[in-house]
Amino acid sequence: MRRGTFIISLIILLGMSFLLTQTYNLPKSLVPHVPGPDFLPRVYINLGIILCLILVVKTYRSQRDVTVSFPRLGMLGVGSLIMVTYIVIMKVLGYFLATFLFIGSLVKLMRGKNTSALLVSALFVVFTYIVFLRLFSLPLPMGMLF
Amino acid sequence: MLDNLLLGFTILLTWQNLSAVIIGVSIGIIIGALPGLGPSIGVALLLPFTFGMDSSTGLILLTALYMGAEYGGSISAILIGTPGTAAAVVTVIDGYALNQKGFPGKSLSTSLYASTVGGLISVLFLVLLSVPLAKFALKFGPPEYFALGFFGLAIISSLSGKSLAKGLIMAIVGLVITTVGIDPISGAPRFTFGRMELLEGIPFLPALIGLFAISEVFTMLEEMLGGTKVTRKISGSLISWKEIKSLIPTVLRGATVGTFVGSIPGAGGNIASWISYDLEKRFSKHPEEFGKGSMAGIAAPESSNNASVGGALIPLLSLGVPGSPTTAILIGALIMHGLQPGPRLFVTNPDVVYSLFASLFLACIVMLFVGLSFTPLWIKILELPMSTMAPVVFALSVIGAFSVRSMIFDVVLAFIFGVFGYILKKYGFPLAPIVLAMVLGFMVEANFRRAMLLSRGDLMIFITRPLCVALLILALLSFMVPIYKEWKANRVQLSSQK
Repeated sequence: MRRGTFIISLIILLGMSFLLTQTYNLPKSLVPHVPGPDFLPRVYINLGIILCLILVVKTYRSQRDVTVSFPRLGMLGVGSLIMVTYIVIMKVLGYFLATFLFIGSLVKLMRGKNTSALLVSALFVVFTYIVFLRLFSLPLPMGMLF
Repeated sequence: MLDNLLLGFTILLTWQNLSAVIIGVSIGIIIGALPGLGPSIGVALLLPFTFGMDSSTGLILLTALYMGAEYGGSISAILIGTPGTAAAVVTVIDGYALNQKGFPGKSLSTSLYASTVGGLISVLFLVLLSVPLAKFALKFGPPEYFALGFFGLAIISSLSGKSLAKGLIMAIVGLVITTVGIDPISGAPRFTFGRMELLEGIPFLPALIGLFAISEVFTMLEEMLGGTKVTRKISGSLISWKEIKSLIPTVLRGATVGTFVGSIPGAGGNIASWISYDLEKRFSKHPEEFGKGSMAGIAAPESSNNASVGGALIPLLSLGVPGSPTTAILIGALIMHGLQPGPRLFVTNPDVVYSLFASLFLACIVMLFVGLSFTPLWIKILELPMSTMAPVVFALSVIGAFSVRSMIFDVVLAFIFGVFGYILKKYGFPLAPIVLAMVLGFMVEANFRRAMLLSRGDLMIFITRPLCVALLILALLSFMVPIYKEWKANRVQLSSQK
């Protein structure tokens, strides 16, 4: 927990520092004494930097630590890759086909049966078609094919 | 007024209007439960269908949908940890936790009971106090809106859990996120890095879906793949009469907060539910239970967000000013039916106004019956294996994220927020402060700068207005009291160890 907290705080600190440099490119207020578009972002970011530093120091000085584990990180990575692939192929295949393939893949990865994978994929696609597209006329990602 | 109310009930008791209530509530519950939709989308979708209807029937259908949707948001919040509506975000905290403990029935029925009573109380306020409440709401100018937002942000100290520093950092991250996009006052782009998609800022819904739903999908993946999944026993038992009675003060407080905050234009059920939750935690004899499945932690925000429906209708009907985004669409409905919202509506069309009031009473009762009927079905859904739930939740999240601006970019954003949300949760960084800050950030900044423009840079504007001062003092107390209590508890512990 300590190391993770330390790293996350540092990442946020670096991010905030970068954004702070960006605030100096923002236009100033045209009306004297009235805060412009740069004012509150700078206040927030400065507060964030101070808090991150406090947390870094507190974490460093803290004696207590709790182990944080990421079981089967590799498989989690595979799952994430499937999700990313799903989002990418949606633009080509469209929502319905991409979702059918995605649900089937993820069910199989999570050790579901082949029949479950097929059934859930098919039922979900039909459900979204009827409810979201037909009933509510909501926009769904349309690919080059569908 | 009593005569008009009786007239309203008489008009309500036709098969068209009764059907409108039942259909409106049922569709509203479904729409509210689906992440990415919400009452404003639901009302907008159904609005064209009301064109051919009688004015009363059309408005009854739309407001019944509004009431149903505010409750519906809690269903997905409790079942899958993803709020169906923005106002149901707070319900996730304790609603999902109680579900995880194996009591989804209690969680769902608590939410239903609180929503029903909250809605009924707000309709009572609407009928009896719409004009004075509307006048009170009109006293809110930019300094008061800023102070209200600041008061809302002060709740962070009680949402931060064990680490205040982590909670505050998350809140700051949320506030910084709200500054991305075109500046509301000057129109200058901020932190867009040349991307057109960021000109409108980072949309709230994809961030919410990512932080709650997609991060939960990662957690489900981890449990299944890592073999750490524990099969839990699911109890279908609902809330008992004893528990209902014990929650009466909570629900009454939540309903009052919801009605008042909902009546302030632009405030809405979202802010009301946060304030109500925080208030309840402070009043509670067992505040340590909040965040771990406390029924009061479910009842407070749920009664508040349904009460905000009645609250939002107060300025709409009394002054013609929308109290929420959904009521802004309802103004369109009123105009479409040839009605002019405002104080004259009570005089020119009392039949429409009072049949609306009557229908809202009935909508709450119908919502209770529909909700109770479907609760066993929702509980059954939880028996689905995680290998089915996880991909379905992710696929629904994609729809929800895409529905905002029809951009794949928003889906990518939701995914990124999901990854960060998962990692942050693992290392004890609370996610609620990010969401709270994103809800309130725009209101805080825009109104602070408007107030400064009005006063030409003089900060005294925040001190010379009584309502603003009261809210700022409440905010300060709200922030400092939990810190002081924890400091005192630590001192007592240290001295007892010595």
